Amino acid sequence: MKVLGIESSCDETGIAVYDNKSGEIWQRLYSQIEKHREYGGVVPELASRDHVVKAAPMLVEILREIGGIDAIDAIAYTRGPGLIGALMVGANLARGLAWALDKPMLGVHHMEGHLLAPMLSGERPKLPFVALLVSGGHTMLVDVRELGDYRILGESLDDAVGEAFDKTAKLLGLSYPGGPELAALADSIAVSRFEFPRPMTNRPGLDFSFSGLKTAALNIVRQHQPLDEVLRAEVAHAFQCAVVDTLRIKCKRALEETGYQQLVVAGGVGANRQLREALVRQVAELSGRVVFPALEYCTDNGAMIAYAGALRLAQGQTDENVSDVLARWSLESLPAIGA
Amino acid sequence: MNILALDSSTEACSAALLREDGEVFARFEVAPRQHTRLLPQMMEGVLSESGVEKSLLTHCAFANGPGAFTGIRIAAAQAQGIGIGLGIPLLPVSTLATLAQVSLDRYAYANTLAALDARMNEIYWAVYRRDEEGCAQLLGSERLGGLDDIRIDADLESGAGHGWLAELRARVELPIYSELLPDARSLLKLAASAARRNLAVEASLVGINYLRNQVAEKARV
Repeated sequence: MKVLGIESSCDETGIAVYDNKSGEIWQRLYSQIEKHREYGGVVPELASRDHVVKAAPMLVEILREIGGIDAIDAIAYTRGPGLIGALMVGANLARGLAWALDKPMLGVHHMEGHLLAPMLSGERPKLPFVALLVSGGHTMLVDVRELGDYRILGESLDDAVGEAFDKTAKLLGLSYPGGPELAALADSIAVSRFEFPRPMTNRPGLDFSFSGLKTAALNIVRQHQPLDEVLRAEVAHAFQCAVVDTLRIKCKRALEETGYQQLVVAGGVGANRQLREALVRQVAELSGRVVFPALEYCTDNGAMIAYAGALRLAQGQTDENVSDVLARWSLESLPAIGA
Repeated sequence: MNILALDSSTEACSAALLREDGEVFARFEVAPRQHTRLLPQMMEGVLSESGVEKSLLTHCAFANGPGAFTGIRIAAAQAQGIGIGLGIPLLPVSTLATLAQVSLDRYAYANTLAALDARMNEIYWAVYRRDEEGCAQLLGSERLGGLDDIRIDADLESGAGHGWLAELRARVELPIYSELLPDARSLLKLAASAARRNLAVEASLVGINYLRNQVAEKARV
């Protein structure tokens, strides 16, 4: 079965086809980052406008590669969570296609797509596992007991980790989205004179809070005007160390609480080198295994939606009664995928 | 020609089908925020009533603005999916022209000023005359502006749409049909004319005419 996946929940347009027999993937990904940079963040209306321009031509390109529209057996799209206007572009493109082709269609949970993204590349995790989802919009630890059976162990009470990276980068004068640039700046030095707190690690529980780190950075920036290059690097370094260490501590705790051996790291922040290294070291210490999706599947993409959709569509799940997109949607409310 | 037409660019939602024998089948409902769900039902409705098979559709037309941003994109994205799915071209038709056509189809005036409330104290507006085929033909250009920017020529005969706010209505002594909304049935007439003039567009290349393009403040870094 070849499943088309359409992702348009935020500022990336992803179109992919996944073949659940051969495991083949065809995909196109377009990032709108440049469009939003001058606004200092994602502008929802501009994101929606760009999706409606980019999605259809990308779809046509992929259809050409797979030998035409008749090769598509079913359609999956991101139903939520995400920006409503942006989600609606992908959902309605899917709806028009499904109607025209008389093919089944299914709305997929964006975070389930991320959770299952490691399944798309070589090193697949075995169930059950703990998943750490870290991106610009989400930070959560999830107990994945079975495919489709998710329990949220902890999540951010305020800023998502990627958001904290971008906001702190902005304080340091880096242009949006400054997360990756901040990481590069942090990696340019080995030590910092500053030490940031590890929020919510000195009490039980698996929730996160990152807005305090941004405030810690702000206080230093205010006290040290004008900022020189060394100081900026030191703030970036202290910030990144605090974030990475906090995530490491919570992952360790989650593995110990669940008794699981495996950690899956998904989402755009999963591409952060220091985070990867710290988690590999930590999990090795616990004699476990950590699995990262291929870098191309860390960010939002259509392939993960096609994959998650394919699992459910193969079980006969479809949008029988046309459903609306959802800005908020609990991962725990999803039906099981089945054997 | 078998043309399917969709409109979801205002609080009204509609679908219509022009069968090659000239017969028109249509659905129309004023249903804010129901468009995503309603459109496929309406399309199914006109298709089964007309007896036209999907595979025999030759074009898919849709109202491409100006209007409610998300609403326009609902019809645009569904039309793109239909165009790509069936391998047929699209016919984007102005929402204001569609509104003018609704008015010209219903009333016998030679021209009308179609206006839609754009919020933020502005309206989308344009003037249309009835051409030889009975189609609304744009005079000048489509505009976005405040009430004070609107010029009303002496030969204007009527007005249509909710952009005719009370303050604007008070400035003229003309028949104003502010309750009229765009409708896929009237859109079909413009779409058929465009199809005859070979103005169909490949599904993936179709555009939206928002008119309002200033939608965000740039950051001061």
